[in-house]
Amino acid sequence: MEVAITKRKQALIVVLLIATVAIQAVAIRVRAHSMFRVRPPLFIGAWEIKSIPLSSEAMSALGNPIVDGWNYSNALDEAVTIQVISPDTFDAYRNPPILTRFFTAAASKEVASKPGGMQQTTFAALADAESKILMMTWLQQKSGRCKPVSSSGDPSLMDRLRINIETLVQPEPYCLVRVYMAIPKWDQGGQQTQRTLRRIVDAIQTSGGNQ
Amino acid sequence: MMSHSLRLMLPGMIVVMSMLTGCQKSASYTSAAKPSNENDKPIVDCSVMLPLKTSFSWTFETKVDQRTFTDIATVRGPIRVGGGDANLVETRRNGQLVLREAYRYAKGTLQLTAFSTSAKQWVVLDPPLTLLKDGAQLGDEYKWSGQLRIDGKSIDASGLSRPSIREAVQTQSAGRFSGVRIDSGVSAPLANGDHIKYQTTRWLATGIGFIRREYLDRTARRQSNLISFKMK
Repeated sequence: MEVAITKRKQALIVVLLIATVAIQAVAIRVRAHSMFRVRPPLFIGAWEIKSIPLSSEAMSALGNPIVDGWNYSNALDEAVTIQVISPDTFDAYRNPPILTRFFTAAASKEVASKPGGMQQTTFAALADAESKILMMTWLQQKSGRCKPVSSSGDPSLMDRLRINIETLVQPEPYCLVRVYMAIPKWDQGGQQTQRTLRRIVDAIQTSGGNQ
Repeated sequence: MMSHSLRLMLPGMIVVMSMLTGCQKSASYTSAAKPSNENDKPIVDCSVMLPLKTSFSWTFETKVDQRTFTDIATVRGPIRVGGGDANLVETRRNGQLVLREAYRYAKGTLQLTAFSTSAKQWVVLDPPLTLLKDGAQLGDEYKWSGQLRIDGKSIDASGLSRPSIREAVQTQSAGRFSGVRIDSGVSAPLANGDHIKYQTTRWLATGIGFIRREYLDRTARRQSNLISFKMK
């Protein structure tokens, strides 16, 4: 009886292994045909965008993704960084704040946005508790529909599985969008930084999917 | 009810996907701070945020390169600058003029119409830069696009003002006040690739006006903290 159950478990694991590899492979193949990447608006109120091509070192550190890098800046010398990552390289993409090694994910929550959900994560510096980065991240489909991704800012295991299955079931082009900004020391509760990011994110989510 | 095979399947899939994608770092997460109700309240009347009656004055302590100076800002009364009426606020350090700013209220807005670091010339903002509006909420952004007029020349410029946060400011001897931090900046590109920049932050308390000021001086920010104020 025990031998039969063990054999059944082994067979099930093999089937699962094959199924998961197949899902992963097909999903990657489907995604490879998607060249869709959101284009953020040129102006958002008093914020103006500039394309910031990433250096080869930065690209290597990020996992060599297919990515568009942008910066919004204003007359207060504030800057918000945007990275739009192709689904083709979604699995290889690494989280920019975490890569600095001085930062760790300190707080995370899912927040509502006008067209859909997004994930808000605060990264705090390990060496200096006053240094923080606030990041919002989401998946955006060509239709403009947005979906939140995992809590840490990196795509989690369950996220990847969910995204892969969704890609197969509903093969609509999508991309991963990351928006982040350093929280200035005067903004201790990060309230103004949250408002700024929300303004930028709402504008990208509203107009980006229609381009 | 979850079947036996399904119960087996879930951990199995997680194990397999872990092998494929690599394990993620786990961490304990908490919610980010929520804005307090105080921050949701609008600034009903912006005219009380900066009283501009002639002879009102504020005395500040300003640190510049490890030296401490006493600055006195005084409302000098109405002036006409750039073709419009405004109230002149003049700041002196040891009797020497260091800054002139021209403010006015118009249509429920507090505006900066001109500024100068010398007694001879003004930099006129055309149109005036809105600093605050009646009913303003924290985080509201007032985009500015216009020209800086200096000695009859005009330079295209852009800018922004924003009431950012409420902040409690402890003054040296005048007490502790809750004020609104207003960030503003104007930038004009020059032909040589350089920029004219006028970045200032003002902390304004209801009925008192300035409780702290900060100006970008070349590359360093100079903060002036209120020592006392006179309103007579």
